[in-house]
Amino acid sequence: MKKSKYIADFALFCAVMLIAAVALIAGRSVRSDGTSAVVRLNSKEYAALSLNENAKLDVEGLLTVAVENGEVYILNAQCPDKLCERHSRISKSGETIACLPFGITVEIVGAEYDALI
Amino acid sequence: MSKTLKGLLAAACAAVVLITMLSGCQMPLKRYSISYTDTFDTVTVFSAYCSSYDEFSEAANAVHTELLRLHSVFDIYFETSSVYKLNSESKLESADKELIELTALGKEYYNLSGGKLNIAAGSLLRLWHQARAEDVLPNADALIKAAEHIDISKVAISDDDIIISDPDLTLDFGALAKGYAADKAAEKAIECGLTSFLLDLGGNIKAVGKKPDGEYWTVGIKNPDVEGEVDSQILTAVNALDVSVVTSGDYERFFEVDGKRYSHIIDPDTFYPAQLYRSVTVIAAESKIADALSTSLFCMSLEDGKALAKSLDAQVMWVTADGICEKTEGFIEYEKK
Repeated sequence: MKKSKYIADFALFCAVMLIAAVALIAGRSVRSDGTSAVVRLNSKEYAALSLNENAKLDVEGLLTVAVENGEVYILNAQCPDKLCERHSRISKSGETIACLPFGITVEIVGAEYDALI
Repeated sequence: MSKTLKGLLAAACAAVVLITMLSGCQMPLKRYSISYTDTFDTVTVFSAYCSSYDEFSEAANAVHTELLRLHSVFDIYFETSSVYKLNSESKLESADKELIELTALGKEYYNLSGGKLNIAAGSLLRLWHQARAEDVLPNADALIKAAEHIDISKVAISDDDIIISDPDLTLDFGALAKGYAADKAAEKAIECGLTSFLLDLGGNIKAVGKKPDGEYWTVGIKNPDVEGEVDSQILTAVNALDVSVVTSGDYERFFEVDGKRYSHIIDPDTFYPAQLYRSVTVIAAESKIADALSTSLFCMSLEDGKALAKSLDAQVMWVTADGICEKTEGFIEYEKK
């Protein structure tokens, strides 16, 4: 009788450990983000655009962020130098385009690179 | 309730308690990032793993405040900056300790680089800044005249004072300040308790700690020969752990006149933009060293550059003007396999 109780206790202990281990591992591997473009205005996140869909986003009438075939570029910039419009299209995680006069940045976020230089 | 059911229920409860205990001591870390456009005329992106937005926000504010503070010391065009005051009066008493430190570092790297990195070349660089803004080349006679006032031995540090004995000589910390600021700002993030973050100050990367999943921060290095072709845009990527990675290239901040591309790095010996390399990437423990070295090496021969990198324990990748890629042995070890 006693022996079978020990077995039951041991089985219970094993079950607890197994459930805990599975839950912990599952909880840790939650990061699986697709690639997107984060648009920030004066350091605050303004919008996030998926690179999987073509889109155009007007940022407060200051400029337009365009997504086309997985690449991001700027058009309709209202600043005098329009440097951001001349920037080559970006698509790799870590790449950024900025419009310093308006305090707008567009950063590609994804799993591959944390920064590109 | 049957015994089996009771047992299962007990097991489930115990599992919940255990998970809470185990994960409770290590709160799940989330990745946050923010960007700034108001310091050092560039984009800063700060990314970190934190347990809450409040924790991230506190550190990000500390980083931003430090960058703004240092920008106000080193900006040559900012009328209230210490460097502006020093340049206009050729003298600064009780100078900021950061300014003294960076002036001393500048003098040290002048010697190490055989004069290729020269913080005293402000008069020469100013002509190129103006030219770049207007997409024209500076007047050759004006360059020769300006180059008469870049003798760094005329810059002296005496206790807390900096004295320039040539009134036409001005200092420009463009080759050092961003790297130095990245180091200082990273210290602030560490003081706030952060253990895993990446600070990208306009291409001066400072990576601290590993990510919570044990992965390294990955820094991709662009291929300077390819523009716009997405798949072949990246030359290589490096695993960055408690190091700084800095690239000097002719593909950022360049300008073109009559179809010819001019980089922003001026060789103080020729008075013209250096043309030996398309890009030079340096990995070093400190960002100020990586920054100083990448500019120095951009103007130095491969042979001299390799010797200097070795003496400073820095790892380097050069992409020469004809597209040949040279790496130090240690650089290869950093590359993502």
